[in-house]
Amino acid sequence: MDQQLTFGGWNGITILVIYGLMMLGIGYAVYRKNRKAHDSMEDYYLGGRNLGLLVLFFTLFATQYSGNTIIGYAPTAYRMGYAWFMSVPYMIIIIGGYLLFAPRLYKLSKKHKFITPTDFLKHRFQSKGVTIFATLLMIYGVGNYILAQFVAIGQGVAGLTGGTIPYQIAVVFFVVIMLIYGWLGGMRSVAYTDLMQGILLLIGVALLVIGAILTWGGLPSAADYIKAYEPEKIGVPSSDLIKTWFSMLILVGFGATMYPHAIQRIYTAKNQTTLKKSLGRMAWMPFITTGLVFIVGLIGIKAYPGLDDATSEQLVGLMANGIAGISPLFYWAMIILFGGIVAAIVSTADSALLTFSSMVSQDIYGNFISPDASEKKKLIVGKVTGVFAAIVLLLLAWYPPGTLFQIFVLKFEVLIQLAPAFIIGLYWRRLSSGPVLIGMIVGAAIAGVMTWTGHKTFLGFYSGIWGLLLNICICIIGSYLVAFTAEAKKKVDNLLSA
Amino acid sequence: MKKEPIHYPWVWVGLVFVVLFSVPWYFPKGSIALIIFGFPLWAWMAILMAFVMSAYLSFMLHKLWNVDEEEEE
Repeated sequence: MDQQLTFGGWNGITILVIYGLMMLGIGYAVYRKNRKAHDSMEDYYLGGRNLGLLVLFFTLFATQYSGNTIIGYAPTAYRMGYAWFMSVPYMIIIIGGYLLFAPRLYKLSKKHKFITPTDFLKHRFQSKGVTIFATLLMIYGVGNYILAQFVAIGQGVAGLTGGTIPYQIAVVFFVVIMLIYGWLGGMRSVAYTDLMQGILLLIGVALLVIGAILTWGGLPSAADYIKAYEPEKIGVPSSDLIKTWFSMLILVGFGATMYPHAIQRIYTAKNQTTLKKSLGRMAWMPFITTGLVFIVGLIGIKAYPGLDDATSEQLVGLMANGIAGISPLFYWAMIILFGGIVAAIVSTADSALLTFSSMVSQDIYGNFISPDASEKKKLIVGKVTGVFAAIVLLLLAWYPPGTLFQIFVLKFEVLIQLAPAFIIGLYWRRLSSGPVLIGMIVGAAIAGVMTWTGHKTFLGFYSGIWGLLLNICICIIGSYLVAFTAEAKKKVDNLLSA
Repeated sequence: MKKEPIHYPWVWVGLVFVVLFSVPWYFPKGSIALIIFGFPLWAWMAILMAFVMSAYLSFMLHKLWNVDEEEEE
């Protein structure tokens, strides 16, 4: 759809360049202050386990909310209507998911010096099979997630600048910058750039919703329009949508906490109080992030009625363009929004990339290939592999699949199969490695096969949930079938004592 | 060991109920009825329950996760 976009061109490029320079600046400053970070995996991948409240909160926040939150969720609200309010509670319930295991896992991670999520699984189950398969699942999930972020950078930038900055160039530019500051400063670079990026994200969302209301009127007038012309989008949701709502609560509530880069952030907290307070604040953020984006999408129904599914994906670009045309003030507000969207994407991608590298360093190289290698060597291997992986994913991103929401769902299905191993494994001594491994494999297989044969849902519930259900049954029943001696119990007691 | 949220099973049962009622399955399908400030009634209920969810989780975090000050550096 060719539109005369009011903003873009050199202003868009200027913002991108300034923004890129800021990120590099932070990365370099962090590097200068922490030169020893390159000798220690704990220092490089976990910021020395010393992130304070402000930084921890913002890195949790900026990592959790990706570009999809703005670019993908507004179109979803546009297509689905008011039922998409579900995107607020399903982001809130993630904190419930964390509460199930974060307190205990944090204590154990400090005691046993975990670097990656797999370190806990290795410690708890002492099983090569569990370790290998879990690592594979996580690498796949994280890789997929990084890919989604790269796709979003390209689409977001190209869409918002009306193609002035081509898709490919946008992706390459930011990936290169990410790789540089990530390489320089590890977790500290990532966390401090997240601080800046998180603030930009919040400002961007605020400007978008204010601009939309001032341009097209607030929610009440949008509601009148929707009631008159598309009443199914404002009526009580259908049974299918209710099932989707429940599915998302379960899938995201458990799945989002299983993101390796989210689990790693538990390890980075300075102390328990810092972790508690950060999570507490996260519980309220959805109202001013997904909640506001949801409202923007609804206003969009009135602002740009009748868009087909493919075009609706460009909704944020269209609306930003409409808002920018009002006055110079709004124009610059939308330029800042633009920065906020890119910030959201980059802040998520850099975290995922760093975790990916840590898993290569620790779980693959350090575990199976060269356990006696020095920390420095393992770090180099992780960093270099990260660069290669980024290049491969970048090439994949140049041929982006479907609509963004579909990519989002695919990762959860697979990562959620780790939940029993972590959540049940932390507390139930009897949970045994054999059933855990079989459960993970079966769960992932169900989710994979169902999704790839085009049966994303069964009886209205996502494949990942069916996989998880069977996974849990296998874990529990299987563990009861396995002999559990007093000696075994004592051993696990020891492993799990915080 | 100091108490953690996991040590309070009934609190989790409560959370399950909060989550259960946060989804508007109990409203008659398709009906629109009243719209106040741009949200239909069922959406106001969902918004209210989302607030309850956040408040409930905040409560769990602050009251049920006890941190021993001596343990912290």
